[in-house]
Amino acid sequence: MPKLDLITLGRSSVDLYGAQIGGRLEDMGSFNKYVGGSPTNMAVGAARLGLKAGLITRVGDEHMGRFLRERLVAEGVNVAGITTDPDRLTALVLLGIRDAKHFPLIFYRENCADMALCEDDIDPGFIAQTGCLTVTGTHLSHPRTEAAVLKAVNLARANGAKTALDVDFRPNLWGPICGGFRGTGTGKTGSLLRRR
Amino acid sequence: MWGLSGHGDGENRFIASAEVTANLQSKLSLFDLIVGTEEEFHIAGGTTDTIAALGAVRELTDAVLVCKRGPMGASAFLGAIPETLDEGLSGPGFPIEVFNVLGAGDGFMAGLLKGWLSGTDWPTALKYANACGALAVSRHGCAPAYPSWQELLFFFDRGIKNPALRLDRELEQVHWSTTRTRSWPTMRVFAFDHRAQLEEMAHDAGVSAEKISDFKQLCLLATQKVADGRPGYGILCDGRLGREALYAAMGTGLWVGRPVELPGSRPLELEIGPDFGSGLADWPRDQVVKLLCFYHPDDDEKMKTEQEEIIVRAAFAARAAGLEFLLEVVPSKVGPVTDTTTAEIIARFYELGVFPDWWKLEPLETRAAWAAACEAVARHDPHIRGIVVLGLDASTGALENSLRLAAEFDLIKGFAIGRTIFAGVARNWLAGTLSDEAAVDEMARSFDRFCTFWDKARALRGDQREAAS
Repeated sequence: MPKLDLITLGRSSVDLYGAQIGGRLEDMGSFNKYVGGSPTNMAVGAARLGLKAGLITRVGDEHMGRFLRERLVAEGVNVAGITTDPDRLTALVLLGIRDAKHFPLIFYRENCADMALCEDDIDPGFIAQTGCLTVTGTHLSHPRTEAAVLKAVNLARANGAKTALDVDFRPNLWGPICGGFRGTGTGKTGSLLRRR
Repeated sequence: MWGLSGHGDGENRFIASAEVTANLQSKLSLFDLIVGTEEEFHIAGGTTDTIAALGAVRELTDAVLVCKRGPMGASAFLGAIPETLDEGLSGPGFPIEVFNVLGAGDGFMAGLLKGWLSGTDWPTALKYANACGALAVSRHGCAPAYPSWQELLFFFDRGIKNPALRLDRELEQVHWSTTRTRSWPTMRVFAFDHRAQLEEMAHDAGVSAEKISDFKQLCLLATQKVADGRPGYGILCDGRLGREALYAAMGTGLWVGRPVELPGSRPLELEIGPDFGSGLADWPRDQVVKLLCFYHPDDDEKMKTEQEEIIVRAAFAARAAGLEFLLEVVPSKVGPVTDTTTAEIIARFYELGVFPDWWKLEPLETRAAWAAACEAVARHDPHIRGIVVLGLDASTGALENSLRLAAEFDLIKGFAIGRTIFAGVARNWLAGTLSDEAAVDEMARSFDRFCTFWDKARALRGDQREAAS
């Protein structure tokens, strides 16, 4: 029997959530600090529901990286697959609740720790412990993280583990270190929709 | 292909890109389950016609496809893609008020994985997923909003009472009390949050209040000497006279409770400003709000109403600040007590909607009194952290008798004892007749004696249980 029900792989961040509701992100006066990042959230959610969950990601060698690690341990998530990056900072995300339809957010992910995740971070012994591997789309956006995802998925499949993909498409994370921008964004969902 | 949108566009979830589509499509055959919103299937399928996109994905993979449809729930497709999304498998939806969609998809995924990996059928897995998504959508934050398993079962069983789930107090209480982190099965707490008594001692010794701060740092050292880095130890320390010790204790692994009551006040007054909320706003999240009240069921109506109102307000302020709340009630100083007095008080506060994370109770003298108190707690709050026993400057012998009885009850996790440990030492140290080292040693010895006593009493109970079974 595998020791873990689930390993998720990909983004991890500190979410700084505007504490005031119904205002612009520009006008927020304080922020609540939470664990964030799609696969990280999933691992916490799964652990709360009683699954034995682990996470593969990278965090920075600083206070926010330690915060993530400590909170995940507290939530019962296995952190054996988390690498501490010696050079890069933990990703941050600033978010707000503007109204019932608009939720402005800024990713601080330039050269962030989890985007340094690489093939060497994927330990076959760790993958062998899980009954399921779940990955998200953002880590397919860069060749290095893509290689890590593929190594993990192929190992899981070879072990007979289940595999799952959450597409988790964030257009502005599909760039090398978020560069090469077009447009400035309006902060309104769908405003840039280009229908075929 | 890179650089699809700008820094200010983090909220945007869709821009068509043939390159992203090609990238995703080269991986689709590797998965047994693929989950996305309609827009995410658009990018995966290379078309903004959802059914056509699902069909394009289906060409490339045998995975179960789960398409999230926001308030419409979700549809799962095990085989060929039908003509409409409604023809997919679905689970019951939960009509709630949208507060915050961020992170809802990850909550949905956690619920879906719970069902899938537990071997439920897809409609059941989708029910879990929809409910987790609904709970996430109705609260602040992403991960903090996700439900525990007990909470999910409670939600299914009881149903939606207020579509704004974050305002549903019963549900929020289940959420709060089943998602606490760090467990405290044993509580060996050195309480040195005393202010009035120490100020009196300092006055008697003719020394300034600054010496009290120094003394409290020695109390912390004594605690750390006994704890030796192990879990299950803590302190009660105030932020006025004991600020240095309080700051020093944070992040060391100790449980830290901090008082808010004005010492000796009756009717109760708090030291944290008139509105309470602002007084708690700058507290670290891992401090526990401790409130002591001299409260008795026989108090006259005016006294009762006044004190109850303050406790209710303080409990709500603590919860709003994300802080745990410890309620200490001391009836014996203000009226006669029987085996049911404490139990009556406990039941009264639950009636008022006060759900403390901890109760701190007097050292009750009989097994019947402890049983009644524990029963009153368990009946109202199955998810409480527990009860700790206070000292009240009792003699060591009397305290040990009460602790021995208390150790028989699961809900009682330990003790928070102060003056029995520090009173004599404080007088001598403030008078200058005891060195720092000697003060720390003596308090550590005394604290350790209670710790050992509690551990033995607990172990004895364990032995008796084994013998009985």
